[in-house]
Amino acid sequence: MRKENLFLLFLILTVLLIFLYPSLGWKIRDLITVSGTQNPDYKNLVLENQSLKADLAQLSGLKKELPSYSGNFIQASVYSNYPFNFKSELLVNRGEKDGVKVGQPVIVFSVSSKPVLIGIVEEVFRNNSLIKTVFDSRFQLSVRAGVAGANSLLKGGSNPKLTLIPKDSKIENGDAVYSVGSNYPFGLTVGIVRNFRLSSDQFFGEADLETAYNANDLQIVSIDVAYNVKNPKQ
Amino acid sequence: MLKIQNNKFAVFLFVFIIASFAQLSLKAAFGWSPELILATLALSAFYLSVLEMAALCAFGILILNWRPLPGWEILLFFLLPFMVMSVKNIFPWRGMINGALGAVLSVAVFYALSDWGAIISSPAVFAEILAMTAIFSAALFQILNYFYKTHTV
Repeated sequence: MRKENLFLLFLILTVLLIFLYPSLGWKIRDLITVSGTQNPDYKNLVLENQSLKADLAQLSGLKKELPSYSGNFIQASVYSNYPFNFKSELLVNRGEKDGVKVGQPVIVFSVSSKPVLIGIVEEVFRNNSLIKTVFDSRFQLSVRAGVAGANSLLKGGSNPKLTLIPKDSKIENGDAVYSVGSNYPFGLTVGIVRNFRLSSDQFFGEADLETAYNANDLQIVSIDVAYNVKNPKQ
Repeated sequence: MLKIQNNKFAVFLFVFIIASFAQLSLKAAFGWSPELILATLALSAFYLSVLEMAALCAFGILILNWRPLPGWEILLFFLLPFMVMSVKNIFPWRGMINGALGAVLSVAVFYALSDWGAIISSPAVFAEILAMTAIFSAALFQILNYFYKTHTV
């Protein structure tokens, strides 16, 4: 067989695989990717610690009268993730047929089953969905931090940031950050505050958001399929 | 040496796998990475035939595609090495600079078309990505040029 014909055959076979058996590519990619080296027990403990801090902050705040969040969660396996920079998307094995809708919150559970928000459903297919995580530069969420409940805007990215924090807020490193956005369940843990400082314009404070997980290491996530999204475009 | 001369495609396939391993692992560890994969494919435009490059790019899509069906960004990823192939003869400089420029241009066009907002919001990270991609492609070009002389010197 001529050399050109071999490449043509290789090309045709690969294109067929891309459309008919994309999971083969995901499996090959799994083989050539090193996952995070963090100890899973340690990660679970940090997740647990963060969600307990968020509970404490919530209970000490003004929203004591609100019912605690309990959704109808379905577990989803992560197939693949966005391979380039700036965005962070996960492809999971649950889709329209499982009741998944755009905008529903996606979480991971700590050891004592406390939910920690990792992102939202961005796009839904028949059998799969794409999740936009807090590490995506397009992700934004209204949050509160610490027992005092300082308001802030979480801006996603490879290093998520808490912005627009009133500069006189009593925030300390290690304070829990929880969701208050209108399109998200109230009081879901997102992470903890790190490196609180004044912003460059000196009008507000800003801080880094520390999470107890790495989006590239996630293998199982949970989607709240009962959550009624008010405005999925947001 | 003779075997390497006869198996350019195999060499690029190997380099592609190493670049994928490095890029995906760096991204997992640090949250961002230079665009080593796209740079490798852009450099292949200087060494491979159209058919060989198409086969390599298709293999790249198979591994990198993260959606049930290839989307706009992955299509762009497939087309950019062909763009480099079509403009490489216009570049007037030495081979290594042309190679690095081709790779950097591909990365810049890729992000400008796929996620313009991210460039505006994180210009420093974007500049770092471009700079490291340029260094990687210049080094890779020189290594490959030791085995295969290109026409753009």
